Amino acid sequence: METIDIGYGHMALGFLLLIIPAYFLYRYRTGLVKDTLWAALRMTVQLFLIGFYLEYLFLWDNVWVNLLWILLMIAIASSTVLKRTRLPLKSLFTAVSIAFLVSLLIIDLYFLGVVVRPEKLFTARYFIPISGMILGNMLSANVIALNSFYGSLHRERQLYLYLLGNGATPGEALSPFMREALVKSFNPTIASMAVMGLIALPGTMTGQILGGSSPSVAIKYQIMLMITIFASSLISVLLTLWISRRKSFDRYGMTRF
Amino acid sequence: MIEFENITFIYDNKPLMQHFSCCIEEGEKVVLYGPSGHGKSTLLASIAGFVRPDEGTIRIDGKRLDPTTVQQVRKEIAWLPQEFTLPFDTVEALIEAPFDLRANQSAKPSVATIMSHFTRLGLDEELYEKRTIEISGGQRQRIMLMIAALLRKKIVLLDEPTSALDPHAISLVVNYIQAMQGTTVVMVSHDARFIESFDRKIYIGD
Repeated sequence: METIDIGYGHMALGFLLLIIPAYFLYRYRTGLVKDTLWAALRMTVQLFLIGFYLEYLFLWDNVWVNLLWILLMIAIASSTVLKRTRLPLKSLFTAVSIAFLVSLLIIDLYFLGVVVRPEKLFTARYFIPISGMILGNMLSANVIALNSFYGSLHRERQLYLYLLGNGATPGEALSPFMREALVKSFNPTIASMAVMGLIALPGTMTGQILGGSSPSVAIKYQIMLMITIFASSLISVLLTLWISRRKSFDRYGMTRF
Repeated sequence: MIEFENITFIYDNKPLMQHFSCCIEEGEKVVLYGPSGHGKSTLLASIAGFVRPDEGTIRIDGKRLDPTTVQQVRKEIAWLPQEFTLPFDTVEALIEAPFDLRANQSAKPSVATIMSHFTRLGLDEELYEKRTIEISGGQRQRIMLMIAALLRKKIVLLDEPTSALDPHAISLVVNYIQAMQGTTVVMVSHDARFIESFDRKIYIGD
C-alpha cells in the first residue's frame, strides 16, 4: 500500500492552519507570533534538509557514514542539552557526549541485534531513525534531569554540605539530588507510557501506519521503542550525571559552578 | 588533635585572617569568639574541608587535610552549620537522616535514647512526632545539637548553636556540651556563658 504523497501546493494549504494560532497569539499580545513563525520556518527547512540527507544515507547505506552521522547527531544533542541547561559547554561537552554515545550504542546493539535483527546491523533504514528517536528522547530526559540535579544542588546546598560534613561519601551526599532528578525526568515518561493507546496514538505507530505498515506490526515497534527509549534515557541520564560529576566537583567535593 | 599552621584566608582580595596558628588537643572544648567578619566560621568550615586556606596547613590527628584525607576526616566529624534549614518534613526524618549514612549506621540511637536527650535539652517528647515547620528555631537548634552529639564523632564543630535560645535553654546546652566527655568540640559563639565555660577561648579579630 503506497502512502499518498503531499504536493507542495497542498502543503502550502496545510500551513494555512497556522493562521488560527497566530491570530490568537497576536490578539492576546503574547509576543509569540514571531517565534511561532520562525520556529515553523526552521522546522520546515531542517526537515527538508534531513529528508534530503536521509535519501542519500539510505542510498549509500555505508556503516561508517551511518556511524559518522550518529556522531554528528550526538554532538548536536550534547551541545543542545548544555545550552538549554545553561551549564558550561566547555567543561561538560565531552561528559555528555560520552554518556550519549555509550548509552546509544548499548541500546542500539541490543535492540537491533537481539530484537529487530536486520540483515545488516547498522543498516541506515533502521539504525538512523531508531537512533534519532532514542537521541531525541535522551535529550529531553537529560535536560530535565540536569536542570533538576544542578538546580536543586544549588538551592539545597546546605543539605549537601550537611550530609558531607557528617560522614556522607560524595555519592551519598548527592543521592537526594540524583533521586529528585530521576523522578522529575522519568515521571512524565512513565505517565505517558501508562496511557499510551488510550489517550494518544504515538508518533512511531502513526508514522508506520501512514507509511503502509499493518497496525499489528506498528504496535510491536511502538511497544519495543517505548521500552528502548525508557531504558536508553535512564542509562544516559545516569551516565551523564556520573561522568559530569568529575568535572562539576573539585577533589574536596565542592561544586565548581 | 587539630592543628592550624600559619593559616591565611583571603576574601575579595583582602586578608580575612593572616598567619593563624593554633593546636586543639583531643577532648578539648574550644570556643572561637570575636567580632563578625574576621573568619571564625570560615576557620570552622575549613576543618571539614569546605573552605581551603589560601596559605598554611591544617592537620587532623597528624594527617594533613588534603583531597586524599578529606573523606576520612569527614567521617570523624559532626558538623552543625549556622542558621540553616534542611528539607525534611518531620522531626523524626530530620533526626534519622545522618544515621542512614553508612559511616553512621552503627551509631543509630533508639527512640528511648533520643527521648532521654530531649529531656536533658529541655525538649518535649511530643516534638519527635511533629512536622519540622511546627517547631521553633530554638527547638530546631537543640535537636540539631543532639544529632551532632548522638553521632558519637571524635570532633564536633558547632557554628553559633545557641543564637535562637533563651537563657534557660542556653544553660542546658552549656551542660549538655560539657558532658560530651572525650569529644573535641570547636564552637563559634558570641555567648558569654560559653566563652566562660569552655576549656579554651580563642579570640579571632584584629
